[in-house]
Amino acid sequence: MSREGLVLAALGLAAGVLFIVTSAVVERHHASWEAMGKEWFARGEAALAAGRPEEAREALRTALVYERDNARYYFRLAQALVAEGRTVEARSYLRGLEEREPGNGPVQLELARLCARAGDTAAAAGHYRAAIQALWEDEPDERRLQLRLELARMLVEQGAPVEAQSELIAAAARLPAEDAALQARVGELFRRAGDSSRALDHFRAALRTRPDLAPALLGAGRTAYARGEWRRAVTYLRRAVRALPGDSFAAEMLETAEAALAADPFLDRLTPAERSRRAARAFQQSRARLEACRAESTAPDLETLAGRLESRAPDATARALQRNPDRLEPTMELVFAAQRAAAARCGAPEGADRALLLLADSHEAES
Amino acid sequence: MSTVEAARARAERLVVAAAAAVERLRLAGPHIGEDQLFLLLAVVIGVLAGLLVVCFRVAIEASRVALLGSSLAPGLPRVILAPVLTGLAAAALLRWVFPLARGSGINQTKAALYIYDGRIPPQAVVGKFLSCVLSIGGGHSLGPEDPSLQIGAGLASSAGRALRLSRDRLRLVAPVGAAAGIAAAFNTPITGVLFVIEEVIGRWSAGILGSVILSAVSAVIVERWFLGAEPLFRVPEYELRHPAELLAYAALGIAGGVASILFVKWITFLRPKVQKLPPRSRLFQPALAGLLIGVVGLGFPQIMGAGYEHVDLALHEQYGLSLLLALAVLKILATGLSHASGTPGGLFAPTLFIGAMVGTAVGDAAHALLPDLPAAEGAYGLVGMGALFAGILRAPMTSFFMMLEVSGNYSIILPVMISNTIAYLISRSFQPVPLLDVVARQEGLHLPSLEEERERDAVCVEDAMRPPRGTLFEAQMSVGAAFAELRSSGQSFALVGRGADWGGLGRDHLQALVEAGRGDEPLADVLPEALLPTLHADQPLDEALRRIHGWPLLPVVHRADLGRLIGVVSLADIVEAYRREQVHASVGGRAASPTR
Repeated sequence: MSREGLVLAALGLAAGVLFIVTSAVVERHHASWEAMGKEWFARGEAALAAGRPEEAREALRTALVYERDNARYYFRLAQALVAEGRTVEARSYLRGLEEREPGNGPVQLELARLCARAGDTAAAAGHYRAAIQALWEDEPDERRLQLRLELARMLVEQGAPVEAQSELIAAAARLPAEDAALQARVGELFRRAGDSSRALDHFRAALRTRPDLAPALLGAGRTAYARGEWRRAVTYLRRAVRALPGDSFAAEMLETAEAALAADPFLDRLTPAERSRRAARAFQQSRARLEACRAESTAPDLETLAGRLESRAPDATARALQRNPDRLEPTMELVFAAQRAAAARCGAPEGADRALLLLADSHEAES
Repeated sequence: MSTVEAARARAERLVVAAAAAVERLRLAGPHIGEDQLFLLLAVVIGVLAGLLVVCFRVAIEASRVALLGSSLAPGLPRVILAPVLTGLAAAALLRWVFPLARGSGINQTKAALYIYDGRIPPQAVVGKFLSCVLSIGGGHSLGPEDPSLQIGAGLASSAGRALRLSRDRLRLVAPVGAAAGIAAAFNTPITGVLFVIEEVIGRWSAGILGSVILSAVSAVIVERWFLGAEPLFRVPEYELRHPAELLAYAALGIAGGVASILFVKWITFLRPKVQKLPPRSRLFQPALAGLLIGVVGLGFPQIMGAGYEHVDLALHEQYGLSLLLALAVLKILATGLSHASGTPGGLFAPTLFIGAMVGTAVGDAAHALLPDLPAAEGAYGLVGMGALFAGILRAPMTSFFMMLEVSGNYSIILPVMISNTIAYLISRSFQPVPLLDVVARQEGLHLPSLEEERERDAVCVEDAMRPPRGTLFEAQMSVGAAFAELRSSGQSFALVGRGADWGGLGRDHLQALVEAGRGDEPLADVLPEALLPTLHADQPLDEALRRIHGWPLLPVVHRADLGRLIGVVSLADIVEAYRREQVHASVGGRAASPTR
């Protein structure tokens, strides 16, 4: 063999030996790096679990030095950053993960929550929808339903009720009928999205399975209350107050609903005498309210309304209204105008005035 | 079968295959030609350099963990002790065991090419490997790429000498190894090739280019085999959505240029000051630099070592504006200290670190001013690395392609070109001599400046030629008439064109023909058979010098019409042109010298 051949063979042999040495060195290096990565990840997890996101962030960043491509580490680091309030940094990591695996549900969900927190409704909805369509290994249908409800809640909170209703209608189609809590939750979301009819349907469905389910009772009561259905509201709210004895909100709403129920001259099945009595009582109540308000405020509209009430007073007695039922409607219009003006000038009313103001709103909505 | 056994089996198969290939080559002919041998050697060098660089990188990382601990923020006392002790150990190694391993790897490779006939002693490779593992692993603000380049070059030099290559080949074999070393260090084959061509060899030729490419590719294949194809840091997504964004990248180019100047000025200022200290202090200079770096590292551990993990964090928007700026400034200071103290290690990694910090800071500021800018701050960090590479190392083409290779995204080319060019031009304006040339001079090496050579205006034939008045004669003109005209014009040589061929006759020759009674014959009949070499106006003047031999005049002809004479050149004209160029260069040199 020529000298060149010998030297090249020797170099080839040296390369072979170095290859073996390098293989051993790199294998050991990788093993050691992996172990260190795991150790730092465990520290990060422990810190996250203990509510120390800053410590978790440092540990997880260090873990990533040793296992650079570990998506799980990245995800947990992003969650630590979110917990720490460092949303810009968290979003950067999550975007990186999204680029690598666009169908990763948890990543899309975290991004959706970050966007929602930043007020970017459109982006958040996009990520929520991507998360809904992503692959989920455990209970995919249940997860997708929960995600859709979370999306609907986000849309309601961000002031997009129509979009929220679309999502809720889609979610309702897959809702298990026997799951009362879920029915109540969907009902509540429909209520907040402004679809009181569907909301009541879901509350009723929940109550069919669990008649004492407090959120469903309260939701149904509130929905009926908002619709001006005082009898139904009082029925549900009474049951809600029984189910939630310490809930002052439910009790207060019940009180108002009862007052409205007692004061409303437009209710069905009232005798003409009772209807006239209620209207006359409302007139006197509003007159007193306006007089009290005029003592605090000299606004000209209050003076005008006081004048109109004064001139209407002879015709606004129970007897006069019963004699002339056509005057009931204009009398109540005047009552409602007086309550609205007093509320605008002198603050929110209480008790019977509050019930009359509620009736004013309800009546306006109906007309 | 374990991975090691499998690797061993693969290696044995490789060796057997290599030996069989060599044997086949031997049997195929009496002798392997040097060209083929050089190409084969380039592959072997690439493989060996790739393996060594992998070991080098792993050793540095292992050393870092052993010395500074596995945390990203090492605590006391490691953060102080590690750089001090490794500085001391590295200085002791360079002083007593491996004195030949001192200095910049790039300059040592250039020195092998231009001064030492391709020789880089093996001790330099071993010394560089060990001392850099200590210093970079111990937290000194330096990087492994320049040493990797020297390791590849040294390995190639040893292999070339073992093969008894000719002197020309031996000179070129070190750059072939250097390309393998730098390509494996960055995991970027094109960058390795371009950097060596642009900064070490300085010229393109098919022979050397093939070998450099083969070695770089072989090294990168080996590197990826062991460490994967991922770049040194994760690269953020980049997309240029609006041309107006380029203005922000132009601002980044300016910031990059300013940062480059600060970095280069700091290094060129500090190094001579440290070199003036008593020689006995040299043993302790790296330790002292290590102490200062350790103190800074207490608050800003990011500046310690090569810092690629922190480049990664910056590119992914994990640092705020003030921290980014602080890290850029501190890294400049720390790298200057490490380099000036003679601590072994390279300047590539710090350059990229500073670029990433400056770039991301500019991106951060741009986003604060214009929140609708679509590109993430990290993309600016990536472009910033290229800008600093162009501004500090002054290899613009390498910097373009490096960013392309690292990002794997062609759409980044426009921002990179804009930022890099601006940074490069600013750096050149305020620092005429490139950093590597300054460092070479500080190391006592007077190497050719490849940037200066690139920039130098070539002297061409047109700079020396003059009009052909009184020397051009028709082929049908009589000898007597031509002699009379030459005598009256005072010229001594007649050029005669016959289509694209040109001949010439001296006045003495014409006189002899007239005296022999041949004055009525046409010039075409008496022309000597030897044709005159012709020149073109755009050819280098060196070419005229090569061709003129003993001819008193050479014709300069039109490229589109070889029978058309546009000028003539004599030896005296050539000498005069060179003299004028020398005077011009010395005037320019004096103008530039105060800033050098």
